[in-house]
Amino acid sequence: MHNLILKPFECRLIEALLPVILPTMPVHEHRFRRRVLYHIDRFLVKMPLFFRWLFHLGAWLFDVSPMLFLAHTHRFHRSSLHFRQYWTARAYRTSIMPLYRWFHIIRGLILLVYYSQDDQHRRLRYYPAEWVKFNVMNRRRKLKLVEEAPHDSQPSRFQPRSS
Amino acid sequence: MIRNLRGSNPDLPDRCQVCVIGSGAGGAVVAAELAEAGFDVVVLEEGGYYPTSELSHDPLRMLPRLYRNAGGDSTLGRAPIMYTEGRCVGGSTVINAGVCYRTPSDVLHRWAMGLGTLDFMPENLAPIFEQVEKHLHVSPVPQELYSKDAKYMLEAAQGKNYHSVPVLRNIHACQGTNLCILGCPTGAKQSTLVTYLPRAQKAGARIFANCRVQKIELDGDRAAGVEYHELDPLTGQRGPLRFLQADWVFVAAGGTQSPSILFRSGIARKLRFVGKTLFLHPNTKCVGIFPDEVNAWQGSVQSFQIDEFAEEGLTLGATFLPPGILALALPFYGREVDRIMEQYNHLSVWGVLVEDSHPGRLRFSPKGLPMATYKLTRDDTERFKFGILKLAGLFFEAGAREVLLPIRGMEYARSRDDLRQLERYRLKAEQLSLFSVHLMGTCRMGLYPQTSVVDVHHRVHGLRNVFITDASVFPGPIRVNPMLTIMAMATRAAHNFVEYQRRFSQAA
Repeated sequence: MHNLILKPFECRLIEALLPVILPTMPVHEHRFRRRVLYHIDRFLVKMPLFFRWLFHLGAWLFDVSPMLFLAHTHRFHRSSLHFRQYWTARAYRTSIMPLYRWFHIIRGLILLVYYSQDDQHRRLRYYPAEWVKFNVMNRRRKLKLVEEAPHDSQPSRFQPRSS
Repeated sequence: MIRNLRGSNPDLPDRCQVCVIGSGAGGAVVAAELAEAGFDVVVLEEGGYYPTSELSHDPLRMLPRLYRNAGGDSTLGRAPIMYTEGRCVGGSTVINAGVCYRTPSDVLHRWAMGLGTLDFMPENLAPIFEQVEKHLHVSPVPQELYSKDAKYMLEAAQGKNYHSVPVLRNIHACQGTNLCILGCPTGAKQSTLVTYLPRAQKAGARIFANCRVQKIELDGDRAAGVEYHELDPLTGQRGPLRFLQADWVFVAAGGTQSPSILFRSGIARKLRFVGKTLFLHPNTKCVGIFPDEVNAWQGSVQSFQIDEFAEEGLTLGATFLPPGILALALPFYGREVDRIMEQYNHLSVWGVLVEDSHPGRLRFSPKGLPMATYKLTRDDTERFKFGILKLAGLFFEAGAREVLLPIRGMEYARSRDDLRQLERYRLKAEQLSLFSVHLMGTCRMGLYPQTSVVDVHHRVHGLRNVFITDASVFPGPIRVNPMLTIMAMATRAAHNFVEYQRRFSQAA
């Protein structure tokens, strides 16, 4: 069934060519014109599919095609190579890849938590709380915001966690 | 008042004219435009509501609140690409750098030709871009906000005669807090949280946070409404399934979630291109170690971009990461990480973004959860190598004593000789450590249901009243940050919709 799906480059080609090939005529004026337009459209959509089927047929008849071109045929799906490829890919996707991802997620989490601690920030001489507080006040002064803002009532937002 | 639901809530809506799924760049714009046109709008947002007063500098606090899966998603394939999406009221506009570039003219010409409509010609979209830019206070980053490392990069670029442009950002009285990716704590970044959503609310739109849409309920070729769960904001547990009846549904849930909703609704069975063309602008970062302190955290997050290699699909720029996030992004283990992190104030992070030449795709679990698969092409790998070489060259030009490369097996460059070695090296995709924040194209716009998901009016093929207005409708990659393009396209979609409804009601 997946052979019925156009490859992206085919879609792009068709969509790029259509406005050039089709004349800009008022489509809905005349039934005949609409019919012609419809058939041109169908032909353009089907054309690449037709060539692909022809190609596969040739590959199957002469049995000389590289594996790439056989990859979509019924015959290939019954072969031992496909069986092996399928199970290798499936094992990789279902067991090896998640392990690899979990390893990285746990490693990332440890580093994220460790280097987001306030004592680490002090060790690295990175002071975001003070920097943000300074900037909030600066912006309020610049915009002449005098009334009390929610920012002011929640100073703990910009305090180091330990204090 | 945006409702941050906690448990069962009697205020939950069960009937509206327009249901907007998502409150990011696409959803908020549509909600504001339609509410102002007099429609009864309800916005359902999966994430929580965090106003400016609740945003802080602490990644441990903000990442789980503002990001989907705390920012820890990644694609499968060669090479795995980490990607992040916003999941809060305001969506990704709350956590992005606020870079606002119009869609490049060549991309718009290509779209207009391919889609057979003049609406996408740059001159026709320009008034919409102007309108959005005015509303977002889009302006170049002032020179005084340039961080020290950005100045180094600019000088190095000028030394090499590279063309650079100041970054246009949606800022109003920005102070250079450099915490854009954790939500702007001063309220200077004009995300939809402080621009479009208040506008929508003023016009009568109702916004509900912590509401996850399960599916669109179909009735023939129409949507009858949406089924959604309330989520507990603390535990994320789903409440009972509820139904919201709506005359029109606008889906703007982002590059991975919009196609997932279509999949769960059974629409993907008819439209085979749902999730098929995933473009994600992969990018990677080099870290330079300078002999003097650069204190990259004092200044604007992105000040300018080098577009010298735009024709090759490459954009270079200086960026910034807080220590916790930088540590997890480094391709090292154990003591080596600490050796590098000890010099944090000497570090500078510069990145390269590549316009991808071939799409990946989204696959769906039986429950409709998305899994992205993406394979970097040989051509794109070569372009990454080219970009990394240029970045490392700029670092040495700026006086860096060591450059950390995002390449497994070739992590250090201590001199230009190392770069010459890299030039000769046949780089494989799986050696690269990649990252993405621009997911697009998974419900692409096109003329035919066989090759696309939505038509030029953003309407889903075969359905009368379902529209998609986010980055997933892009027919291809756009080389620049997509926020302004999404907003312009959503504005155009909303205007067309209002105009169509006006004419329809007049005719009736």
